[in-house]
Amino acid sequence: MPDTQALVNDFLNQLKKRKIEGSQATAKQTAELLRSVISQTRVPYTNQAGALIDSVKAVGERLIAANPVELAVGNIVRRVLHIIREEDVSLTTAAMAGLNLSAVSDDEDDADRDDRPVLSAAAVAAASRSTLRPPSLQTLLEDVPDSAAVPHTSSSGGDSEGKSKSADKSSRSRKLKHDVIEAVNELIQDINTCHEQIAEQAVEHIHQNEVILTLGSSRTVLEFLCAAKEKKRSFRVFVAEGAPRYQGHLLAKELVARGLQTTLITDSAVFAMISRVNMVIVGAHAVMANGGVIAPVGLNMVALAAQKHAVPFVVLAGSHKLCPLYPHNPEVLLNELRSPSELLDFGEFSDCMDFGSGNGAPLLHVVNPTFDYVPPKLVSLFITDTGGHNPSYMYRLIADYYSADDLVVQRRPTSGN
Amino acid sequence: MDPRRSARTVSDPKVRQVGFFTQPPPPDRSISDPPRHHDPIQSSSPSSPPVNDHSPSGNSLSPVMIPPPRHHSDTLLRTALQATSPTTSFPYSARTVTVPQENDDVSSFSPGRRVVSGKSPSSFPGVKASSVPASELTTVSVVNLPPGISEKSGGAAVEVQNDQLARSKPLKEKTSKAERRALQEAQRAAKAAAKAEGSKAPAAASKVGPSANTKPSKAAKPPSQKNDGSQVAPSEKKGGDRAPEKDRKKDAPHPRMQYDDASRVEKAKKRAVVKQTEARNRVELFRHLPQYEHGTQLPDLETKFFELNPMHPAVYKVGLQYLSGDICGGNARCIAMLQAFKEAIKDYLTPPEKTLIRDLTARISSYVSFLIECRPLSISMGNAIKFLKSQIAKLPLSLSESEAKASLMLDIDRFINEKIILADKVIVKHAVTKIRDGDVLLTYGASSAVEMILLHAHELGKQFRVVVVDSRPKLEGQLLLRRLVRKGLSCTYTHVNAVSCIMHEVTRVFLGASSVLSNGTVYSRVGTACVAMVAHALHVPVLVCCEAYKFHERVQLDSICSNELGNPDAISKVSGREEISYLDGLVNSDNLQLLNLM
Repeated sequence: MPDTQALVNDFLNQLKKRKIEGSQATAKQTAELLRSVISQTRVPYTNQAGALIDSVKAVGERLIAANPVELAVGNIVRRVLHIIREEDVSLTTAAMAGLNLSAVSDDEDDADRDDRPVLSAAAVAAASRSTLRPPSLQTLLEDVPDSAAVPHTSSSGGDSEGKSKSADKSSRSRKLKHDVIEAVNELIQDINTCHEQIAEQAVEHIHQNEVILTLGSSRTVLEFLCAAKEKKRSFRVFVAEGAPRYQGHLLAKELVARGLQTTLITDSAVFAMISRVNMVIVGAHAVMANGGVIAPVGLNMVALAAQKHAVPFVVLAGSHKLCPLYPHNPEVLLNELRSPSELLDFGEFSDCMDFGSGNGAPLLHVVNPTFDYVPPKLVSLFITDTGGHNPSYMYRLIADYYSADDLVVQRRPTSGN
Repeated sequence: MDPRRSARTVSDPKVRQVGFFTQPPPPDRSISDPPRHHDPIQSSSPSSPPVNDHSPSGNSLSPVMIPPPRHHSDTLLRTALQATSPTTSFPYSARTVTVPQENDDVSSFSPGRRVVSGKSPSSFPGVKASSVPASELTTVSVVNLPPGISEKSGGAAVEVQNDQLARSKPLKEKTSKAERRALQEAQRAAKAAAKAEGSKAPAAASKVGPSANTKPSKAAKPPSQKNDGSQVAPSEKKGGDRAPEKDRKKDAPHPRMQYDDASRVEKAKKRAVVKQTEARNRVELFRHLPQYEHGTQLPDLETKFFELNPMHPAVYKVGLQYLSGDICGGNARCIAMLQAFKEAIKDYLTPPEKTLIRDLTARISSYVSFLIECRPLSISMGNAIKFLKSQIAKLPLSLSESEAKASLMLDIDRFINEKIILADKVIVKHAVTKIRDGDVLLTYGASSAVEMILLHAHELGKQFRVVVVDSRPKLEGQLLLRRLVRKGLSCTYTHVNAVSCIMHEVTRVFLGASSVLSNGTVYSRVGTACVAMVAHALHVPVLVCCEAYKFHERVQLDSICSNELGNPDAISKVSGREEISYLDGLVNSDNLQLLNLM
């Protein structure tokens, strides 16, 4: 545990100081951290899934609070939670099938548990019933599905089952952890390879003699364009420089190094050039549940211009960027303001930033937001590592990756305490 | 409709007046009047309908022209043919005082009279009756064609002919003045005869007349053919709009110099004062615009200083200031140029055996071409040059040199005063009524008109905040910001990418313009369209402030067909942030192009 704690604290520090750049790196580190947390967690014999979930939630809560704007952290935490639940479900289903239980009706009412015939697999059945229980108002209201129900059952079970139960459960617990860690490894693998999978789809979208516009720099976009170039499609790229970080310069340099015809333009010239552009391809910071995009600043303007000129606006996003939350007032709540020194030279304007005039408020404010929110109606297509999707479809992907219980990553206080 | 034909206007069945007409006001009210505020809205919103008193035919002046003083009797303009049909899409600001051009002078058109009234064709070849409408707003194209455009494309607007003629002086000297005048009279007679029938043919002849004058031998054919072709279409379209239109048809503005035409570029280069090397890595889409290597012109100019005999030092100085970017902004450039011209005129001495008008016009044209080489002209400057040339052309021959010079300098002063300074005052006075307490106003870049509005509103005691949006590479917003904060306005500063975040707080957007074009589009600094678009998407009202003398009659659909390309190095280097040097060493790479649109 101690080394895990140290790891967690390290990572928290990095998040707070914004030392980690990019959602992919953040996601990967989060996943690896959670993996080590899981492997270190000592799980009880009963309800090991609950224990795992608890420990992950504990760490996850702190991680999310460290950098709330970096949504990838929360995404990964929720993914891991979902993995735990899913693995638990699949294990119990397998166990049930293995024990040849007759189809036990999944009562929504847990009170009948005592009436069940006491079998050696009774506890298994009960446990599986709790995990396989479909979500309903009852379960939402009950609020503590796992931890309370299972001890109840186990206490009602007879002693004769004790040994077999414990034997079952210990093997099951090891298996659960093992499965979960395997699944998290897969998740990490997915995060690593998301660029390649997205880039594979490039050739369907970029054709000969096209003109592409992009803003700022995104590794996904770079790989995408290079993949199309590999397939011998010749096209031109307009890169808008993306003040105030000027990442567009970086992207232009990379593209030139790989042999693509690039033109670097200022952000203000985007509207002027967009009438001659065939497609706009950009990367995203995060994709919200309604299909809206949290993107680097300036992309809302580009999206509006693209819509005005009927140019397709394509967003490339790995699946670790898909966030199950809905954006409320994203310009304020999901945005970060960076240092004004990127815009204004403090030396020149130090006299203006004085607090000494008038009613004591400074006359000059500098606003330097990091992100822009692009509403879903401006986006033509999302390309993720699972394929291309419409913005209105993104909510369906959430059901694949996340569980409804995990939307709020907060540990519920257990009633037993 | 033509006020000069007031005698028979009403009863002429062929003349059908369209739109709102008022009787032309008596001339004595015209000149020194402060602008009649029919509709002060004109000054600040470019999209309002034409003013009521905008009598289409002769009364309305171009926004460029100052109503001439009443006593000017030298009107070679008042030919019946001179239908001034101002472009109707022009919303006239209160600036345009509709002064009839010497209304009371009989508009009957007699060749004899023309000759008497002096300075016309004899001294200024090519300035025919049909071609010197000092006050008419004809369909004038951009005046500043680089020297070397000596061919006349058909349908060239009348005013342009002046300039072209001036510039192509060497060619004209082939025909003597007498010959030309004779030709003119013949043309006019033919016109008068044919006009009675109101057929289109004389119009063609009249069009051919001017062209024939300039190139008696060569260009007559093509322009006339083109004229016929182009004339038929517009005449048919306009139908019975205005009868004089048939004669002086509404020509399409002369197309601007397109720099992908190699032969023209060669000619232009030969006449160029400043040798410019073309930029490598030209962006293909902008082949039609000049792209030169920046930074190579200044040393070249310095060495040439003493060779530039015809160049007046004041003009030279202004040119250098443009080149280095010291003077920036439509009004500032225009005023600086006019002051320089005033100096030049003050020092001007007519060479022996040359007439003041012709020579001075030629000299001004050479100055203009020098300025173009330093930096392409803005539309405000173009209009001012047009005005100046027309004033020169209108000088009566009887004036002595000093009187003529004094009159011209007075004209320049009046132009600056009325068209720019007073116009700005009117704009400010009206625009501050649009600002309410608690407003958050957004502005983009640095516009002199908007700055004046904000400062004046602040002086009046209104409580509001300002958001200044800035963009690379010029970062002009910082200058505006400094001036505003110094005066005590509370400001927010941001860059153009963040405009969609900040627009949620904004209540009004004020934008300046370099020009407003004939199809209603606003021609302004690059990035203005982005701001306007975001404002529109968020339902924030946008107000554009532009003086009327900057209006122009050409049309433009997007930012590609006419633009100015700046120094590409300004993009690769970010001033103040040396760490952003990703593109060092890559500037000459084949694959990379830097595009700096202005």
